Amino acid sequence: MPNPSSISQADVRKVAKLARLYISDAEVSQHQQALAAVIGYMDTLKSLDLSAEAAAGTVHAGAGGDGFGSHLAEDEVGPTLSNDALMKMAPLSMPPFVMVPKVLDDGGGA
Amino acid sequence: MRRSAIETASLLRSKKLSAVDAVRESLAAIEGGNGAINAVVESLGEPALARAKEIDARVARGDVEGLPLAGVPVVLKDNICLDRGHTTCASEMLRKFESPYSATAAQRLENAGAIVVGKANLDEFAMGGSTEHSCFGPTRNPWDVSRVPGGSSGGSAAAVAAGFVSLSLGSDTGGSIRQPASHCGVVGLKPTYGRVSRYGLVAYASSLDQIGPMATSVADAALALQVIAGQDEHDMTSSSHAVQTFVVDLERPVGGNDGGLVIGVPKQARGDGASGGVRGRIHKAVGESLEHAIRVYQKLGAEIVEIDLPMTDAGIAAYYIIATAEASSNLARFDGVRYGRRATLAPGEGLFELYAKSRGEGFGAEVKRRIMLGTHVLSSGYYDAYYATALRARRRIFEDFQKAFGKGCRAILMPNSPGPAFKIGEKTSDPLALYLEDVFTVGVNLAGLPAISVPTSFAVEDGKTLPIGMQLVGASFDEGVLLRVARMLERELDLGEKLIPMRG
Repeated sequence: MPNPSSISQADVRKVAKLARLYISDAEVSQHQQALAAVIGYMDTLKSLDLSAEAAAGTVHAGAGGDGFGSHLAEDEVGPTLSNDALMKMAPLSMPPFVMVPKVLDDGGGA
Repeated sequence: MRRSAIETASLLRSKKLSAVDAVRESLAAIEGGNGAINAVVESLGEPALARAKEIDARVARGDVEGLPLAGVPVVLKDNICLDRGHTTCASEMLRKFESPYSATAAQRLENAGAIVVGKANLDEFAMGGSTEHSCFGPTRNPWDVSRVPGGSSGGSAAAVAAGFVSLSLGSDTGGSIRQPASHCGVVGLKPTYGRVSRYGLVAYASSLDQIGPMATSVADAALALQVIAGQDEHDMTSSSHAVQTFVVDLERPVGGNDGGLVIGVPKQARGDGASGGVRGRIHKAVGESLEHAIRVYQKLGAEIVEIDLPMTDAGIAAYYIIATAEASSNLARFDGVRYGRRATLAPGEGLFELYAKSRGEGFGAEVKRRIMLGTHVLSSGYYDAYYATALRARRRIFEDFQKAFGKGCRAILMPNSPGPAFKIGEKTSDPLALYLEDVFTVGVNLAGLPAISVPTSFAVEDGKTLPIGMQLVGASFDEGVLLRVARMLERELDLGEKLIPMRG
């Protein structure tokens, strides 16, 4: 594995692309420094021996099992927002549809 | 003069004050004082006055049952949805967003008679510890306008400190209620994860986020928690754990018949025991404030025991891995299609450009940084080294706290933040320095525990008085005891009017 603390500008651009995030050239340099510093700090975790621990995605209410943890909703249709409310939120719409760029042919994709 | 929420509601119910007057007072305070501190980003005067008239009509016909917060003006952090006005998250992405529904916590406050008079500034999407990362500009600390109020709930804290309202809601993912409460001289409570519904709270890191009250007293925070707590069918992680009547028992000290009050103090927060990383960062006034709080509890008969939280420094690393990983996933919903900002495309540009440009224009630097960090730690080849390791660290941190409670501690006492409020701009160029400020708060979120910040003392910096608060951490769903322990400290210190900012 490459040394993550040495984040290159190419790494920043790659991560930005994965995150669907346009960033300017000036931002690439700014983020490169900050990301390297923070990821360098994150690397301190690697010096700990945590092999005995189970991964805890959540420690909700004492990690479940005590009756107070997450529960599942009934699998049934409940009230939802109206089509009008949804259309009102969409930045570009042609009710009852929201508009997106053409995705077939030369329309998009990364 | 400062009136608590409980006093306002009591005056309302006995018809010595009208809700309309309470709301007008609050709106006038915002009008007069917000220009200097930028705590409120949207004032909701008209709907608030309409709502006040409804409350007054109910009081007039004696219909006050279930209105413990009758006529109490409140502000909500602007990442908490309300079905009127805007819910912006202080982001260009949502600057024009109008939520079609209200968050459960907001709805419960209103059902109890509270009146939302405005929305409060925050670090964009609650990511930050200074309320400097906002599309509305920074919030300023009412005690010294050249300093930050803390964050990310800085607007909610400053609005209470400045006397705009006596009660507000914030959200706490890694300290975002407690640290600004500490920096602004107010009480801030982060409930146990699952205690308060997150429905309608714009998600930052879903396994850590929790809504909580900010107030001028422990009693007001207790009442507000009682109102907003409890299971909600719209949030499957909200707990069915019974909501205690936090207010009724509040004046009863913990100890005596309860089997004595044992308070744990982590050696990482104190004197020579402090670990290398943390020790160098604790401000002298914060260290003294901790010692003072320890002496107060000893005087009240508490036994102070040293506990070990060895993951205190490593917790920051674990937190920023888990929180940013969850953020990168949560914020993927902002795609320029369904709601929020949509970029204008050039001919030939497609869906990828719509996503990337909308997000590039809509998100500020700190949000972009955290999305990229989260994307990185989850990306192929790094997942095990970062995310999976952080989840194991999270388990260890939870167990370290459990050990302390297992030894009989009813609460853990430590600072919220290594120092008092810092200068605006002082840490903006060094994100890691800002992240390290969270050393005492993030572990609590990772462990899902409740914690409260109580004002304890003051520091003087550059001739200005700045408040300092101490943090008390409780066992899961033990807010009842936590609030009583906090009230013991508050009552003994009796800071009262000293907590009104002397701005100059």
